[in-house]
Amino acid sequence: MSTAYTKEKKVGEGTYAVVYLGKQIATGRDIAIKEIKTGTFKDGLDMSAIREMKYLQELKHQNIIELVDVFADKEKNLNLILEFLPSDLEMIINDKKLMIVPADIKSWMLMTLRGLHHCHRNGILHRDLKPNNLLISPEGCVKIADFGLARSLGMPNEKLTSNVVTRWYRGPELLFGAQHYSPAVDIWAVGIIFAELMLRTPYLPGKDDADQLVVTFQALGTPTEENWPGVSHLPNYNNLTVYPEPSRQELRNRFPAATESALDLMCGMLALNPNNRLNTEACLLHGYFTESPEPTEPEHLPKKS
Amino acid sequence: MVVSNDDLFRRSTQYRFWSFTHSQLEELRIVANKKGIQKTEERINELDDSLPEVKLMRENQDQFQFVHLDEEKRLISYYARRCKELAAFFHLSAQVRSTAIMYLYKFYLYHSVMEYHPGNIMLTCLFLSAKVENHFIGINTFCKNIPKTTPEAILKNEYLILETMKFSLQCHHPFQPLYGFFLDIQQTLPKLDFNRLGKNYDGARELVNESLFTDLPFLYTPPQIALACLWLCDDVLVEKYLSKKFGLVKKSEQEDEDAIQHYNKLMVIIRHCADVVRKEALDPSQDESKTISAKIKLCLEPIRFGRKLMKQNGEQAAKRSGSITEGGDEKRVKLETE
Ligand SMILES: Nc1ncnc2c1ncn2[C@@H]1O[C@H](COP(=O)(O)OP(=O)(O)O)[C@@H](O)[C@H]1O
Ligand SMILES: [Mg+2]
Repeated sequence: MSTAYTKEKKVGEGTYAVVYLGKQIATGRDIAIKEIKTGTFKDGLDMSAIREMKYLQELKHQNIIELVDVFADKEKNLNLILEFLPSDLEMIINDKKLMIVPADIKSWMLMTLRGLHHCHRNGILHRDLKPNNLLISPEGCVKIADFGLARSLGMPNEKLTSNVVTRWYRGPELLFGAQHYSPAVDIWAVGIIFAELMLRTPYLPGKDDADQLVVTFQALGTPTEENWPGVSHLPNYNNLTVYPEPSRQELRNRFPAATESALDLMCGMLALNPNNRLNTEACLLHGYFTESPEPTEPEHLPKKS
Repeated sequence: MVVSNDDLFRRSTQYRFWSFTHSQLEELRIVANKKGIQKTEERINELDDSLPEVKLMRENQDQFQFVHLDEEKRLISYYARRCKELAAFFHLSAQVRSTAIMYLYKFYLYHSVMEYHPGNIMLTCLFLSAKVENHFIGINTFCKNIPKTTPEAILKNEYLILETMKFSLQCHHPFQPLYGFFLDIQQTLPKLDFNRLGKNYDGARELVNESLFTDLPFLYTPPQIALACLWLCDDVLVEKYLSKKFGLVKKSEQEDEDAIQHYNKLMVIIRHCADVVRKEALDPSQDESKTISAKIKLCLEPIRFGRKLMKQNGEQAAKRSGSITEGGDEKRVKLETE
């Protein structure tokens, strides 16, 4: 253990790390210590740990979790010191006692998109956005966390794996097994989170990978060569039932509380063809964010009860 | 929300931790070399004085040869070249290869070859870089293809390297900006012969590879190095492109003083980078590397120096007396040094 931090209690366990609550001795500030399990991997330091360290070192932004420090303890375990974030968006969505109003949703969306914009302009794809990875600070700020699957936007033509993003938040290009994809995969995930915030329940909860295709296209229509040239050549594009795109009225019925511009933004983020999907900048400049109501101030957002 | 690419680069760890002036670089290397000498001296001092080879060594300590600053740099470059070959053997991308080479050079800004042999560090740098750049190779596969190494030997240094990197793993190389210029030149100079550009783009990529064996990545930004490499292949093209970008083409009433100054400043950088790529990319021979490696062996295990002296004395004595009475001893010493 470093002399700069204390380790108090275990607060969570991830796939490659155990997370503890601790304190930075000099400042008394609460911090999270993410202790990377070493020794369990025969190939040295785990890939997820490497990615998290690599990208968080580069990304300093008020809506991205802060990597305060990295150090090794006596046993040569690697420790990532992160700001301590006691809650996440999933907890809030699931806490049925909490009342969520449209201005709250706008505020969470705004903060998420600002953080994501910073990732993308640095050439970094997150690839695992979901409510559980959007942590919330005590002041109510959204902080994008868990960069264990992130990667750099490489040279054109570089092949990427489509086995990323937790299933319910996976865009159609990933469902089809595309090897070339873009920041649009993150936008899709945020679009699904937007829908989930409005519905207070997961929007497209596929039971397995095959079901995810069905659920997704039932809700949003099946992509065709017409609205997405080239789609039929993607690896998993076969034997699809062609569902029509939903009419505006159907969407209004599904999202009764959404304003017209909220629906516009959501549809822009959930365009089937990734080339037609809005980018972070277009999202942030969208009329939804300037129309009334104004986004709730972070400190006034609903908190975990 | 006006943040330029330059601003973003200045926030990167590459800029914050790994950009230096020429004299800062020299200073770091001098300090690292001194540390290596000091560590070697400590090892010498720890030796058991009662051993005859140690006694002999103490008497001749002034003959002990440390690795010189310049030799350090050359040996590191020798292994950087080997790293490139090994990366090609594993079919690794330019990104993986270049990152591994940068890790190797970065490592030796803070350590000396008299502490860690670059032949070992290089392997771990490549193994780590493959993971960092998303091109994972299992440690067993990796080792199977490299003679005289083990998974333990490679993994042992992983943490040390991470720490020396200050846990900042991202490397920006000139390949991506070079590709960006390749596209932008086509936009900016639409009448340009595409074959000419394509040929020079390939040539420039080769030079970017060479630039890794110089100090340029620590001194200049990736786009600056990219432009310099392209300029070396086709100076007329690059100057035409930049003039147009800076709005200097129309020799109109009044030229924009600021733009001219910017352009000239950039050209000074480009010419300087180009000069360095052309003249300073190191490629030491295997013989040279062997000579330096032999010195390192003695630094890492100074007792070998004592044994070498013993052996030399023995040979001289044998020559003088014409006898082989010491032959037995000599044989034993020889076996130990093997
Ligand atoms: N900064 C943090 N502050 C508080 N708790 C955290 C923090 N980071 C992670 N945790 C807790 O640890 C758990 C696992 O961490 P996470 O980084 O999401 O790992 P994984 O990659 O396995 O999902 C989280 O679900 C959360 O409960
Ligand atoms: Mg998680």
